[in-house]
Amino acid sequence: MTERESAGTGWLLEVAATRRAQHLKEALRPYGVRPRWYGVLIALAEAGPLPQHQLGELLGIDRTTMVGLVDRLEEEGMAGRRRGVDDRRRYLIELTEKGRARARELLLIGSEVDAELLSGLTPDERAALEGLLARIAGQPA
Amino acid sequence: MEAEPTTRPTLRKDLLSSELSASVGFLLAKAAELVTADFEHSLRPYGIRARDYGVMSLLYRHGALSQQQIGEAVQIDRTTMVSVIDELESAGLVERTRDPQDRRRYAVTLTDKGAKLFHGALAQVNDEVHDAFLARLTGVERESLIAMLTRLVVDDR
Repeated sequence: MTERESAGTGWLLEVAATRRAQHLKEALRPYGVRPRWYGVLIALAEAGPLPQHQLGELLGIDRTTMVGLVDRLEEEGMAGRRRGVDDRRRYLIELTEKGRARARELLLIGSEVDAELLSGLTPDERAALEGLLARIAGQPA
Repeated sequence: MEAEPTTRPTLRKDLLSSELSASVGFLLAKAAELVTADFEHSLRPYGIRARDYGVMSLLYRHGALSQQQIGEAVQIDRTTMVSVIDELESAGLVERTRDPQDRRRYAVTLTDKGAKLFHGALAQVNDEVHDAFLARLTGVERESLIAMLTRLVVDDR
């Protein structure tokens, strides 16, 4: 393969990701959930209580926006802030029972969106794509 | 040209358990975000954004296009499109000419300066960014990634 061909990968990723974001947004709309909320709820459900800055890093959300998002989640009774055990100056964000239930619901919607997006690929190809993406998007080994 | 280390957001795999990290959609979004961040960073010295590159690439391949056609192809709304073209025009990289078929419309083309920049320095930046981004994959894996992504993008309709 030539360098010029691999140089189109970013564009392909961008188009595929944009399409996925649009589908996700549409699928979440009836639930009154924005894609950002989706990311925050799922990340907290998966990774457990996290300091705000780690949550922001994980999702690529800046500090100010993150504070606003967590405030909203607290207002809605979906998450709470509690002091860290190791570092008492630091707050951990954790989901409430209501937040966890919501996250489970949304995870199903997300899986459906992904399944539809990937419907043109065989199961083997899906697994291969996932592996390749994890390697390029993951942390340096 | 050696790109400065970027403060790119990394995927903290250690923080993630099964389902989110196993979501291809999430990885797709993350990978796209990372490569765009790297690309933006490397284009900065040229005063070009990734979306400007997309517009220039389209004009380079297709010649004259209307603003509407460009906007549809690169998924940029009409208002933003006008300012993107304004900026590229004031940098002397593109020009607007009246469409001979319809005098109310403008056709946008790359200037010689724009074509030269695109074909030279920007193409090199693009190659370098992708080479670094895909460094962990073998040639065969890259091919397979591109083939699958192409099908995702094309098959979806």
